Amino acid sequence: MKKKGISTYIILLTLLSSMLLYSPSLAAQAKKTFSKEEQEKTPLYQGTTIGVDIFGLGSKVFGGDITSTEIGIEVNLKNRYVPVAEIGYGTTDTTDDGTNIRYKASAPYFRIGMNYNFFFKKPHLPGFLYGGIRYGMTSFSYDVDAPTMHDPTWGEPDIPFSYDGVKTTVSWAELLAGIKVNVYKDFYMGWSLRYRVRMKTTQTKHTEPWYIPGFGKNNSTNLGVTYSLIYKLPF
Amino acid sequence: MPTILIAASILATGCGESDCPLTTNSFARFDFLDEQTHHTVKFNQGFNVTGFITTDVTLRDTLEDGTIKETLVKDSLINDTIFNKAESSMSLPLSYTSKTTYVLHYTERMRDTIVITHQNIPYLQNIECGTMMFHHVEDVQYTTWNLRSIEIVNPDIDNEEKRNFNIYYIADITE
Repeated sequence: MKKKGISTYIILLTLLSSMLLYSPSLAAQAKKTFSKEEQEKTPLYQGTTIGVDIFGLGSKVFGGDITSTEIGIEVNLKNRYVPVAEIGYGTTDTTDDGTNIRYKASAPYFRIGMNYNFFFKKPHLPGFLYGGIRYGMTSFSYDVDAPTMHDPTWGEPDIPFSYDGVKTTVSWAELLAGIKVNVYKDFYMGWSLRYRVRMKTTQTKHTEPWYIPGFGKNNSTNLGVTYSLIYKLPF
Repeated sequence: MPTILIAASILATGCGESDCPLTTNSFARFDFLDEQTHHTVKFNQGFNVTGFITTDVTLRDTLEDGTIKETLVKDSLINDTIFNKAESSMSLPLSYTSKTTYVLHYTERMRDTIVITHQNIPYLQNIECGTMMFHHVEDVQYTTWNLRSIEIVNPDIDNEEKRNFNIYYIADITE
């Protein structure tokens, strides 16, 4: 569990993306105004994009325990409201160094929600600065294997701890902020920072999930990042 | 730009957090109360508690032909340091077997025995924190040489501190 590597990775990606959005030419363009008439004339449908999150794949390379990736489909309405659907797959197979407990889980997850483009009055800009909300859900099973439990008072008996195929369902909400920048023709890249709040977890008798696909580690709240390569579909 | 850097720093810090419970031990808490008033009863001198369990033990006998014969028998394991100087309450560990027996030694001649029948529930909250053993009380039986009765207040015994049993006495006898 190399936490320092992941932190460096996050900061590097954040800086890189920020530099893209804060280029001098973009700042100059941002001074142009967008009249109310122009807003009303803007067609409802502004296009559909499909993006692939690669941040979850990269974290494994930098020493993380978890691999995940997802595809997001966004429909741009009036360059302001962006309904979003995301489907992903998360997996982990890790053994904690301190407790020698192994946890294994692989499962798909789903999110739906909406982004709001704060730059809707500046359509000439090659990017978005947006906020958004999501509802996420995953239903999965996991395996846990721990060392045999030893009665600390009487010394025996020993109790084995091994539970395979434990089923659970988790739902959560997300608040997020992000940027999306046009890098070449119909190709964009962007990142989002996400604050996740766990809503509901199916309780089981012997264990709680350690990693929840799409949500992250099983805390009441979590922070997450996505870094996506995005393509605007030609229709 | 500074906002983005601050957000990134918070995020990087958040990735390393671990949220383990303060204690992973499970104890059954007994409070001593007066049978009539339900006020707390205090034993001025305090008393000690011993415990024992019955568990399966494998005996190995070497037969005349040199083979080893294994026989499963029941054996008692005694722990004489379960709790020292119980005055108005006590917290006792339950065993990993299905029955745990405690002996309350008020004096050399005055004792009560409590037998708790329970389920054991191995539990894992977080792989970074280790496993825990919780218990669910199914039944309690006891002698009434000194105590009058025992009430199960909360049958679930886990790593959260809470009252599980009330033991009722007649206050005069405890002094």
